[in-house]
Amino acid sequence: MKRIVDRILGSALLPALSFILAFIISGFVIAFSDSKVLKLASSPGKFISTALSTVGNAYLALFQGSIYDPNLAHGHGFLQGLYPLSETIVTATPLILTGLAVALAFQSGLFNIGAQGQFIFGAIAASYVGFHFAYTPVLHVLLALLAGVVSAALWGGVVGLLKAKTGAHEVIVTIMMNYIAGFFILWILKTTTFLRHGRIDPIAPEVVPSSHLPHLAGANFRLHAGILIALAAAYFVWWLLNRTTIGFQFRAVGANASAAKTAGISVGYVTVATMALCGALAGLGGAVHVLGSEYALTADIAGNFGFDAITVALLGRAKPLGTVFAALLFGALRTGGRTMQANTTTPLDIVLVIQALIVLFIAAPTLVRFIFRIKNLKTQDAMTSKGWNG
Amino acid sequence: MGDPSGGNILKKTIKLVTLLAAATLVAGVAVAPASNAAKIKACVVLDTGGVDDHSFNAGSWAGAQAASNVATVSYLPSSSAADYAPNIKKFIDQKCAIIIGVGFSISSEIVKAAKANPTVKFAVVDDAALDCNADYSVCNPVANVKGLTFATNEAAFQAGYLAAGYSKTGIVATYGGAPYPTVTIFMDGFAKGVAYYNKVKGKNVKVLGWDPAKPSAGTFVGDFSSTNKALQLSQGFEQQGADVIMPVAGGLGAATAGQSLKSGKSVTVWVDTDGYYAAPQYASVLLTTVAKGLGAAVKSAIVDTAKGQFTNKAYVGTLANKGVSIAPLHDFSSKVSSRLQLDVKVIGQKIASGTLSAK
Amino acid sequence: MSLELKGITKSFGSLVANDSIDLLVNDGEILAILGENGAGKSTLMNIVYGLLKPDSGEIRVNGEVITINEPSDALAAGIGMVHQHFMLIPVFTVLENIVLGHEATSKFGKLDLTKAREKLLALAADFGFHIDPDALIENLPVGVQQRVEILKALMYDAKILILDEPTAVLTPQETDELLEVVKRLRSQGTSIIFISHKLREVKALADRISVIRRGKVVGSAEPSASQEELASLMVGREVNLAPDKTAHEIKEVILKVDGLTVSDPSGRGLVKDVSFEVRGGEVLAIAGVQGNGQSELAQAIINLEDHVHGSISLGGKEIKGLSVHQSLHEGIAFIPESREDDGLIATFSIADNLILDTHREKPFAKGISLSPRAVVADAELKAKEFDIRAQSVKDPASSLSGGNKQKVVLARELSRPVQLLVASQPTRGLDVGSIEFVHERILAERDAGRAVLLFSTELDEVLALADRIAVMYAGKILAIVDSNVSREKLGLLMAGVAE
Repeated sequence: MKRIVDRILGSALLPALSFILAFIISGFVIAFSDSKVLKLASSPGKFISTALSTVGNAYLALFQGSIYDPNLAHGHGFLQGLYPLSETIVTATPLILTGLAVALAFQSGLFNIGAQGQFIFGAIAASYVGFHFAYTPVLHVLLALLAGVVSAALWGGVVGLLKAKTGAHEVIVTIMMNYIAGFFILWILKTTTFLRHGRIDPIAPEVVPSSHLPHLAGANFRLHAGILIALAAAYFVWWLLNRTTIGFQFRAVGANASAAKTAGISVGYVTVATMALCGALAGLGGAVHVLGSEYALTADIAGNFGFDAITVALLGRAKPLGTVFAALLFGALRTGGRTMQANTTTPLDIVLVIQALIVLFIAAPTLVRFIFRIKNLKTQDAMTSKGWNG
Repeated sequence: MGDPSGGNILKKTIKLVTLLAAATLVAGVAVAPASNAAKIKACVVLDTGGVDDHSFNAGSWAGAQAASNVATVSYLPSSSAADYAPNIKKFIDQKCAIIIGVGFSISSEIVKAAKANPTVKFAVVDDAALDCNADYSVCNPVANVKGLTFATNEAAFQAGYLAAGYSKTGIVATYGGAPYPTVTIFMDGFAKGVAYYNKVKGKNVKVLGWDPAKPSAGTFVGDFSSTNKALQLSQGFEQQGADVIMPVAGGLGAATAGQSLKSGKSVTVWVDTDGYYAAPQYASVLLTTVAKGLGAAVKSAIVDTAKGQFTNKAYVGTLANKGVSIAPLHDFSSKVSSRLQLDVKVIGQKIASGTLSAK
Repeated sequence: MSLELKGITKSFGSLVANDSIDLLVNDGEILAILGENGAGKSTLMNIVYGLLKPDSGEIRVNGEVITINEPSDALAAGIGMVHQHFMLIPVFTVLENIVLGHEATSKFGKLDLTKAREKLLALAADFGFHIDPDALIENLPVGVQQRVEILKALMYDAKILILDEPTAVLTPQETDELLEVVKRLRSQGTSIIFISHKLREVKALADRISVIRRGKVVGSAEPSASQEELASLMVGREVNLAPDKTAHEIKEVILKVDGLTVSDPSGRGLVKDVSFEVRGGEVLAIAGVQGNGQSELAQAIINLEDHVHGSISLGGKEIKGLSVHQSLHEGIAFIPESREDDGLIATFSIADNLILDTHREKPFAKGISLSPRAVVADAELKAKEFDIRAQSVKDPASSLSGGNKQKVVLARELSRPVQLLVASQPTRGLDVGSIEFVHERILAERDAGRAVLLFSTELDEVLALADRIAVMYAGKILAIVDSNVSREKLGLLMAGVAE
């Protein structure tokens, strides 16, 4: 038991310290980019107190906007105060799934840049089943999800097939496939099937209510069953990797493809299966996003979910649980950033600085080790450099 | 090797966290947000172009800021359509008296929110913001939503005429960010202005990128943020001989103006807010601007709300009410013949008076 | 020049790599340092060469205490070193490599190689080396590259030369030539420290032998001592160098390879029309210098190679064209030549490494579900049977020593029902104790009636284990001979001289 606790602490320590450092440095950025603070540069005492209060207010708003807001609870009860947390979860849900799509690929020694395109295909298929058909409620949502998963799995599987059969590098292929998906959705939203009647801007009809993912906390909260799906998917990935022969082969190929091959594991099969599964996960993300919170397909439906996924997977050290936490952190930063900008003058973009700094510190463990004077910080991470050697 | 650094890290971490927490507390106490009882809260939700687009979002935000003597103003940017709903919700929670959505694409989310929050006033820049049924066959106004729209085709008509007269190659071009009605209306007016020039002067100036008869074949970037694509389109137009280009794509106009500046082969017609001031670095290549009185419209909506005079009556900016206009030629006034300048002016008067239709 | 080490101690954390070591090399003498892998030889030499700093102790040259903080200090004191892994830049010429770090420039900073060239040619002539100063290193055979390293040390007036495992990469012929070179160096007054774990070479060369075990000098020996005596000093117990090869019954043909050709993707032949048979109860050793097609031949047998023609039959059944997985499960145990690259997954636990090729089978898997408990339980049994020394079978394979790593591979491969064992360089880089263990296991397989195909570049190993010996040269099998063949004949065959 102690061993397990140690292991979790060991692998969480670096992200945690990186997180703290990122917040400290971003604090300086916030203070020094605030005109109110800069004006006081001549009187050090006031300067420091104003700077501290600016940074404090910004972070307080970040917290209130992402976890708990007493102003919302006031007169409406504690639960209403948790509305920001529900928004954090809604934002994190697709990110968990795309993050898993990248993390799983890392485990097999593949670098999946293609979560964006896979997400788009999942969203398109789920949207189509959602608005074009009418089934009984439970069946409808399941079919829509299935459509998203299958189409994205095929889309991702093609990458695996190209790599296995021709040796094409998955990084190049997935980047190109992202372009194709990005322009495909622009095109499909011009077709009469997808373009909403009466509109000429790229937006599809809303999916019908029978295909909506059920809300988990009443109609006032956007929190939907997608988070349960995402958590189940994370558990599934963990189980697959650690408790099945398929996952064993994935990890073996990821850790040492040459030894895996010598022991009779088919690297080609692992490549195709991994990419198809990654596609399925990202596609599920797209489907959940459409059926849970957006309801209508738009050209920018994928936002930045596919690319943030890479950062999330790195931050989560390619582990399912880590990815879940990293996605929640990103979701919290995004939703909290909104309140930060609305309540204080600190721009939303500062959360990008925080995100970037966290990743930077994680990628440079030596720096963190130096700052905190730690000798034995765990940094065994082959996966970050694996992709290119593929 | 085996050093007991675990405890160390913990201590250091606790120290840091305590420090941060203390800072937060001190800060929270020290500066309570200054509230001004007399002022209302006016809140702007931007679209994906961002506050620095030197155009559409910037103009709307400038209008809101101009109302800061009657309102405390704030805005939220949106990185994708998925941000619209939460951004609006955030402002509702902030008890904003009026929430202004910038852009056509945000309209349906504003309408949804307005119906759920009848005590809050809403306005949408660039859309009538009607409550429509699923296939848009029936649309009704909503009691607490004001649509701020602009007949930009009227001023674009003038710009088209000007461009056709200015062009030496006999080819002009336009492209849009995305095929939104608020975008294509510019392109439509522009193309028709060129056609009017051809008719009056018996010329054959060609328009690339838009044909009012075939809207589906129009040239679009696909979004309002892909600078590279906008640059490629501009270069493509230049290669096809176009020497006047009107980008209707928010901040992407800078890509075209930059290309004009670099190649010297074309000039740019700016849109929304007078580029001579909004993007002075390109002043030397900006023929004119099809200006939309975004700021004035936004400001008046806020001021009306502050005075308690908000109505849901749609606002339509036209040449007649000066809600749209063609900007002064600035640096180009010496390069455009006075005859052409006069023609453009007269056309404007005719449209304003209703004797000439820009449609 | 003499070199004396007094009380050198160096620890890494709790591990004492060198424990107050005293050594003396006299002027013009060859001192051999004998010790197993990990005994502390390399640490000691790195201290002498200035790559590591000792915790305590002193170094004397000609009786005077000197301080060596970095390699340039060692060079200045006349100490040169030839590393086990060459420190040469492959795309530079011989001359460029030799002047590296000592570049003389003419006016205006132009590189001036004229003097260096003259000195190099003179030096090479002194020692009877034929060397082209303008040849690119990457085009030279390994033995010649090593001479470049030696010349590089001599160019800068090394009077004491440290040779760290110099024969590990050489063919038998090259080894013999190197030994001659070293003797010639001694006759010209250079003192030599020769580090090795190969007993035959040490006996042939050394004036005196010091044996290091677990960081301590455990004794010294005369070159006249028997190999057995030296080995037991080195290992610390009785060692059986010549495994008992009992008389045995040769059975039916198990592996039959006929007209096998392997090419690389560009169509260049790597293995050319090779045919042979291995019967149950016999060891066929494929001897040859590294890089003559042995690796490809070994891999082709389990269908790891892509461009293969010809026939491979196992127990009368054609297996060419099967997947690797199917080939292994037809009854082949495969020990790849690189444990680290192909044999094990370093980050996986020992237990997981033990099921790399059987993870789909009971009791480890039911359907696709894997039982970690069954995996660990089985691993503990195998660890016992194969004497794998680890704290826990859940530890990563990377935590094991070389010998224990190879035991993991053996345990995995020999726990399946097999007809044929294909072992590629099974003892490369292992210590004497582990070599003994591996040899015993291989002979046990033979005695149990299985066919063994052994690929080895070590003549000692080939002669100790083989019943018949096939010699590979340039992708072909030059001859198949009996195991009572002379070393000289084998050496010639390996050099490509067929009669």
